[in-house]
Amino acid sequence: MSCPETTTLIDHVDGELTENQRRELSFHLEGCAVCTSVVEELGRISARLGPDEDEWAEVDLVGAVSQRIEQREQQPAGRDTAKLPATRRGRRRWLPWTVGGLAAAAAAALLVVLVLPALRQRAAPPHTSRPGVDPGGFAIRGGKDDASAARKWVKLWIYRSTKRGYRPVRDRLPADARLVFGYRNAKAELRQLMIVAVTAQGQRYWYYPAMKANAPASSSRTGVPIRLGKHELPDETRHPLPSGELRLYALFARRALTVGEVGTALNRLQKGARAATGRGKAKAGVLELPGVIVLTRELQVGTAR
Amino acid sequence: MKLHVVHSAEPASERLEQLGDDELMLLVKRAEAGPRHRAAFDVLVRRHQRLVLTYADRYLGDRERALDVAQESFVTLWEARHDYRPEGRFRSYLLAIAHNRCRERSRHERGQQRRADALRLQGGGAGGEPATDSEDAGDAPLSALLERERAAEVRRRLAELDDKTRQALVLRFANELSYDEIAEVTAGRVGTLKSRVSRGLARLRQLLAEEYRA
Repeated sequence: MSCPETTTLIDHVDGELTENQRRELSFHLEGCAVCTSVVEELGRISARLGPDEDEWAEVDLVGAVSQRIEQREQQPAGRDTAKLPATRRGRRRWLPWTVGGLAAAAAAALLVVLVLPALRQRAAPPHTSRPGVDPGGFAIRGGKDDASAARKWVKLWIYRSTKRGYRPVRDRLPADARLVFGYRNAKAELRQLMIVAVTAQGQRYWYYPAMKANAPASSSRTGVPIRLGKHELPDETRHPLPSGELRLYALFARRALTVGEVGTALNRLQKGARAATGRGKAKAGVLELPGVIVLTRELQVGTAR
Repeated sequence: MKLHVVHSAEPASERLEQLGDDELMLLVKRAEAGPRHRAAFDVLVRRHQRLVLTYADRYLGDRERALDVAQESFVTLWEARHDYRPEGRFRSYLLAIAHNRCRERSRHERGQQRRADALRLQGGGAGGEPATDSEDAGDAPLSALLERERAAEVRRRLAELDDKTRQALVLRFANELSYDEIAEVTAGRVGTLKSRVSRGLARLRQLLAEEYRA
């Protein structure tokens, strides 16, 4: 056997040869002092890069890290996202994960809803000033060309809690699913988020902000503040959902809407849908409300895949 | 309508050590709720500090800077805790933070060095010898001292490789990660990474051979 390429010797040192290749090379090395020398040299180099057993035995970073965090938190500077791993920052799939925080959720306690069919929104050009459209803002209207514009601005991720962690919800979920949400917001004007699910029979389940048992006055404003970028909502919420269709609405709004605004809009939508289908099933229609983007997801409650 | 908001049962502090990284991060994200969640973060720091320190030390080739950058990496982890998603190994995420910090430090120092060199040239001042490590040799046997010096030389030479090659070699040999894990940290392909490690090791051997010949 002629001497193998250096890359083969490196693969040998790196433990990347197959069993057959390794056997063959070992046989060659027994009779080749040159290759043996190279392998030994490469082995020494890789070992010298390797960890030393007691290298950091006396080091404990906990105190120093805590001190830096405290110092940093006393400074008014914003978060330094540039230092986050780019590999994860840009990924499509990101997993929001929960955290109880019942107090905050219950305090926020209210719901809001506006309904628009999924991905049927559109941004009006800035400085539009016609009725129903916020001057200098944007409006959401029907039309299939609107989907891409909306998608650029907002996105919602839905996950359910399982024993093995959080799994993305695609089209099915179990009736007792604990849901958690994440969002992406690329439009600074969008500052409030509400999430509500509506069954085929018109029952509403408020996920964000959480609905209190005693609904507040219809004039109360509600909404969860949102920021630019990708973030997760801090609560893991479970409703006793009935089996069947479920439509989940995420409302990205520029202001906290009142309970009355949302409730009325949703009622109107459901009423219109019932009249249209004649089967009592809620079906999303178009609701024009300035400054609100609504994303919807059709889900099937039952056994999750 | 009844709402159920689920509270995850919080483990007792003494059981934090038994939790997995993702579970600890879940608690860390609730840091506003109290000191207990900082305890979860402390467990993560203690658990992974050696990994981060080793990475930073090999990448930067300097222990003191490694200590500083490792601390900064954990601070970044804390500040970005709400952005963490358990979609891979936690330590891959942490090593990616550490790499960004190392690279940033490295660039910053190269810039400073260039400015210092320019000033020296303008002023005609003497550059002087670079500071050398003043490690205490103590009573270590000669063979151990020689080995330490050779290891230091390999690690110094590592700094001459490009960023990606250096990263791959450190993750492979210093952190002893599998290629799958390296792919997670770097968002690269396993095949590409294997080639990179292979080329890097060959280049390192070449650099060291040149040094011995000189």
